[in-house]
Amino acid sequence: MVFQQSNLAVILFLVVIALVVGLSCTLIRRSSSPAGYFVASGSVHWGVNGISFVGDYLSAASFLGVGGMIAVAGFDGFLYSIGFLSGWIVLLLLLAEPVRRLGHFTFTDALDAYFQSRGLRFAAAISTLIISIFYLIPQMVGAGALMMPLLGVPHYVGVLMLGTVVTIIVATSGMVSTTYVQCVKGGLLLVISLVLVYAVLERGFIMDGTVIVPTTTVQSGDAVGSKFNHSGSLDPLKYLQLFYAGDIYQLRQKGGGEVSPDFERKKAGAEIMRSGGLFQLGSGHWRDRIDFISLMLGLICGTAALPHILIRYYTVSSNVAARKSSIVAICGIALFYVLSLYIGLGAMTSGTVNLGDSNMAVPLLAKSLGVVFFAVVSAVAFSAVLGTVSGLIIASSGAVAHDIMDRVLGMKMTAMEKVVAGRIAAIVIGCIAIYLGLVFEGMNVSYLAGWAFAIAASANLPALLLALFWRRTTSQGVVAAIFSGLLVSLVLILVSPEMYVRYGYAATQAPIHLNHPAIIAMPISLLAAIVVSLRTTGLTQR
Amino acid sequence: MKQYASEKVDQLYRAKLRLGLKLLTAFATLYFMFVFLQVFKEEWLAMPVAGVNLGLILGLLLIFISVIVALIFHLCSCRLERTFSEQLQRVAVEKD
Repeated sequence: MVFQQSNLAVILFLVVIALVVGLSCTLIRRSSSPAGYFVASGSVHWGVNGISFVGDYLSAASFLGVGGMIAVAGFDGFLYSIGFLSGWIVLLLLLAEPVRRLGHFTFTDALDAYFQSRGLRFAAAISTLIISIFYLIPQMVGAGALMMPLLGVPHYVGVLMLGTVVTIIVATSGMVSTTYVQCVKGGLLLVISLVLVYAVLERGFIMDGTVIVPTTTVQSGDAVGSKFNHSGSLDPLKYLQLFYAGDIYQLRQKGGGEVSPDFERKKAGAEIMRSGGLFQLGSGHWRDRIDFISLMLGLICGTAALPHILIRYYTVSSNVAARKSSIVAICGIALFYVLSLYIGLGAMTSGTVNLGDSNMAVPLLAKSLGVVFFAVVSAVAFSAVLGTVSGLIIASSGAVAHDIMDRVLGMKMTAMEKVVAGRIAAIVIGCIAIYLGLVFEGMNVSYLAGWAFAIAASANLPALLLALFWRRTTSQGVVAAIFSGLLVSLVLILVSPEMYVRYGYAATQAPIHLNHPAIIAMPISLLAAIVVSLRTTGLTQR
Repeated sequence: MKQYASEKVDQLYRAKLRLGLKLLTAFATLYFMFVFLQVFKEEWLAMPVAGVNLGLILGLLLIFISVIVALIFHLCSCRLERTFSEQLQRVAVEKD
């Protein structure tokens, strides 16, 4: 039942692919110079850039992951939304204008503006590559999960298809087509989320007394009116109030992915709307609390240090445009996260959750509202992955071609050769992304994105803040911040309980019971930068 | 005149940075208060308020506040930019 494919969805999916590939081929001439290829010649309108930010940022981790997490875990999934959005405030208030002022093609430009150091450029480029690759994992996993119900193909075929399409987009016309893809995707994502929430509110609840019965289980059988009451359409507040006051059946999964309500087990809406679905904070161990604080720290600090977000500031013509586009982005992203709360709760109360893969809750909710909904939501979700992956690949190719090959290795390249180098780098990174998408199949994409945020927060943010705002910072200090942040966060992730489960061991065997490393890695990175800067004062001080 | 303009641009940059830092301090305080309430006083957030729980209301409020902070920053930055631009123009006219 869960994995039946729809012809309309297949057609829409093919239309999306044809459109983006066609667009990329049409725009290829506008990306023949390095400025055109890497930053769309800095000529993007702030409004378009703002919506492109929305498209760039609201990835599979947000559209599929947050909705899925709320559908499975309740309120705790919503906490991710708050963290993801709050990072934008750090970005707007502290970094948007300085980064725009000092950089040209990559975030490394801004970091290195006061130092002109090869070592620093190399460190920042490596950091960009690692963060982008970590952020690519959830996108590819989300793509694979999406392709299964959409086209009826296995996970690996889905990952392979997305990887190929996105590599074509980036390798042909770089940031120019990426901007248009992200802008269209950002707009579509907001519109379809609004429509989805409207449909959820219109449908309301089907209730047996105070018990909210999964909508999908009563569609064909029992008539509404005899045993069940229909709440009718609800306003947003009333929807939350009824959910809070009601009881919701727990779901169980049979073979073949089919989900049915477990009529023996109910949970109060009030319980679902408080913390406990994912994080054991109230009654849990101290390490669970520290892990949660670490996650929230990583989320608020990580956004401001994501290279693929920072490079979008170079696509506009002025500092004021950079600020305005951030504000458009914040409004759009805030709206989306409020909507995702209703989408998640709607999926939960409809019984449209694939318990084996929480990422599928949103498309399945759409499926319960009609085949057209499902087709459109799947196409938009696919474009969500497409937009973010293309942004990540362009950031990575800039790190390779502009930072490492041109500035660090000093390779003499003509403008055209630099663009070709960027395109080849995009193809290689696309292949790496495909491989990782296969390895991490089945993990929740928001959870995986949390790691990318933690690495960005640990490696890039302390370096960026000190380089921009502390006069005594030296290039050695910045390098120390990047490498210590990278190293500590990567080691902590590799020995985390979640990874131990992946290795086939019990989570309790992990040496450090921390799944999110920011709380340890960030202070170490900051400390390393300060100590090394003070020790090397006078050598390369800015 | 060029040097004066450059100094003014730097002043403007620093003024916006100071404003950003103030707003960020206020926002980060609210954010971490919310996080710490989740961790240490979760039962407070479970209290029913207006038919839902306090945690949900505070979460939605934090999202709303982030939009407001962004708008305040933009409006104040615009005002600063206008003031600095007027000062520059005045000096340019006096020089002429």
